[in-house]
This record gives sequence, structure tokens and C-alpha cells, in this order.
Amino acid sequence: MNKFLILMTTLGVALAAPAWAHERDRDHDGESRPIQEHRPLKADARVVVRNVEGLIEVQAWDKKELEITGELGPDVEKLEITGTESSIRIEVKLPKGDHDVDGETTLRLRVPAGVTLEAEGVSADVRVQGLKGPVTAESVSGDVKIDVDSVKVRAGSVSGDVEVRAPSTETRVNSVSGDVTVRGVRGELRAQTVSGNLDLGAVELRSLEAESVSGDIDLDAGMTRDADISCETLSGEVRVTLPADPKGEVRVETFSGEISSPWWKTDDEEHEYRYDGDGPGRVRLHSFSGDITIKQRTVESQKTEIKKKDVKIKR
Amino acid sequence: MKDDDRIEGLDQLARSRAPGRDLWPGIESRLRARRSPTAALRAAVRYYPMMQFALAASLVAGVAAMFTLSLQQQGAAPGALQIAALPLGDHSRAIVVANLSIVDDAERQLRQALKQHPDSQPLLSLLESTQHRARDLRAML
Repeated sequence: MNKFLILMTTLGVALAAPAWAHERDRDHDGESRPIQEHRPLKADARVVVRNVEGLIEVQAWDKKELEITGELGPDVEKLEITGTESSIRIEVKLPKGDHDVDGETTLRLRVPAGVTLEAEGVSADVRVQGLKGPVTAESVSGDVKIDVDSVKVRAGSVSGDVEVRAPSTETRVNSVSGDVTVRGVRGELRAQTVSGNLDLGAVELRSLEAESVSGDIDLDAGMTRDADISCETLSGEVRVTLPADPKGEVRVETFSGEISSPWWKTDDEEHEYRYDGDGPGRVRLHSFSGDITIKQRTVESQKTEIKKKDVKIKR
Repeated sequence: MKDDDRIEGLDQLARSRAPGRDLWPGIESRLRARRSPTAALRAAVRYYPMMQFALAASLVAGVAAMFTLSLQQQGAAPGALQIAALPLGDHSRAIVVANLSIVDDAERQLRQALKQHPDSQPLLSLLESTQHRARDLRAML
């Protein structure tokens, strides 16, 4: 009988515990709570910020200080701030094991422009503005928008859209189904997506790897003389703006798509073009079933510089 | 954009259980058919003689999937999506699964095409990229 009572009591406590924990987590009266935090921060500090849902917004300012404002969601357990003035981590903590929570939190950070930032959202949007240090910003289902002066930028999302505006010389952007927009970059750019679209604009590229499976690729970029440019897609369409006189080799190949170009006359049976210009540069545009469209980047009069005799048509 | 119906810990549930509601409408709005009708028709005509090999190609793709899973356990490939480490909600997981299906289908098409043009460098390059994407997506699940 005693064993039975002990067993029943244990079971009762075990069953009641989650309910009690749930009530404890809701002791914040179901209302959002304002955030107002300040920490000293070095100009070149590392800042890591993580939010599950809501918004992460990071802006540069001219103080050697971190300011965090915004609102914690009603069910957020706490805003955890750890680290030093050289490396600090800010994380929104939700109650463990409780899936039915309102954790929507707005985090607004102001940091020295030179910090190294790593911002991570789950279903939170991420916005970064004005920084000069390296930026990494990712979200699962949130949008990521970066407008910075950084030379190194990495941005990604699974289903959210990604937008990068930066004079970055080392840029990595990726998504699964979200659309990706890049503007103003130079140097190296790597962009990958599965079903999202890639809309890539660059000042001057030395290296580009753009890949999609079913997403379209749009590229309008200046290129260095030795640029190595590659765009690959399975069933997406490729639309590329090239200089009228490409410096180096151009290879355009599609398995079953169509190729159109202002310079080369095409018909349905032609799936490959090769152009060998003077210079070390290389441009490769490949698709499986997607169409490839080439447009000229410079003025109308320059397009005649590529003469029909320079073009070798196969198939 | 957010997962309004996000269920944390979903990845700990048995995957053999069917979802309680139809996830496809949400996925469909994000996935757009991009193949032009003429390209699709031409591809269909081109592939008709190869359809008899579809079953065998599926088998090859299945083996390839197992191979990529094995590679995945050895470490991330160069250029792997950086977001692979983030936890997925149910909507995001469904989107990744749908995209994985697109990638697997693309890989099957490429393998069929490679039977006609086994030395085609563009096709081999596309196949390699596609396998990388499949590996990235599987790493997220």
C-alpha cells in the first residue's frame, strides 16, 4: 500500500510539474517587457546575437558601447548577456520544453562600426546597417537585410529573402527557397540557392560562383580582366549582362534550354557557344533545361566588336 | 517572414508519422515552375527513349543519396550552406524537404542525360553542384 502511495504521489508530481512550470513562465503577466541595457564594448569586439522569433536589428554608432533596446516577448525566460568588452553574446532564452510560447522579441542593438558581428535568427528577421567589420547574418525563416560598409559579408536564410548591399570583397550568400539580392560588391562572390532567385549586381568581380537548381540567375556586373565567372543552374533561367568585348573565353552551354544573345544568331538546335577573346578572363554559363540570355553591358556601338567569325557554333 | 505555427522539438518526433494537415499549399507558393513550355516539351521528346532507364536511374540516385549521407557524416562540404546548423521549424523543414525533392529529381535528370553524354563537363559540373545541394539540405534535416 505504501509503495502504491509513493508511486501515485510521484506520478502526480511528475504530471503537475510541466503545468506548474508553464504557469511560472507566464508570470510576466502576458505582456512584453522593455529592454534597456548598456555595456562597454571595444571598437573591434566580437558580438554574437541570437533571437528565436521577432527581429534582430543592428546599427553602427560612434560610441565604444553596446546599447540594447526593444521588447522581450511575454513568455521569454530572460535576455542573457554574457562575455566581456572584447567579446559579448546576447541571447534570447525561451523556457525549455514549453512549445506553446509567445517569444516574439525585438532586439535593437547599437554597436561600434568596427565590430565583428554574428547575428542568428530562427524565425526572426535580421537587419544590419552601417557596420564596417565582418558581418555574418543568418535566419531560418526570417528575412535577412544587410546594408553595410564591410569587406566581408556572409548572409543566408532557408525560406526568407536575403538582401546584401555592401562594398564587400568577400561575399557569401545562400538560401534554400528565399530570393537573394546582392548589390555593390566586388572581388569574390559566391551565391547559392535551390529554388530561390539570385539577383546579383556587382561593381567589379574577380570571381563569381552562382549556383541554383530551379531558381533564376540574373547577373549585371563589372569584371576584372582576369575574372573567373561561373553561373550554373538546372532548370532556372540565366540572364547575364556581359561587356561587349569579353576579355577571355566565354562558354555558354545548355542541354535543352535556349540561348539568346544580341551578338549571336541562334536557333533551336544550337545549345553551345564559344567565344575566345584576348585576355585571361573566363565566363562559363551552364544550364540543363533553363534558357540563357546574354545582354550587352556597354553602349550600342560596341556590340559590333564581336564579329560573327569569332564565334564557333557546335551542334 | 516567420513560422507562425512553429513547433519546437519537431525533429525529435517520429518521421514515419504523417503531418496532421496538408503542408503543400504553403510550400507551393514558394516554389515556382520555371521551365518554359517549349523547353519542357523538347526535353520530354529528348528523354522519351531514356524513360525505360528511369527505374534504374532512381536506384542509382538512391545509392548516391546514401553515399552523400555518408559523406555528410564525415564533415561539411566546401561551400556548404552556412545555415545548416540552425534549428528548423515545421514550415521550414517542409520547405527543405520539398527542395530536397527538387534536387533529387534534378540529379535523376542529370544522370539520364549523362548516359547520352558521359563526357560532358557542363553536365558533370552540374551534377557535382546538385550533389552538394542535396548534401547541404540533408544536413539541415
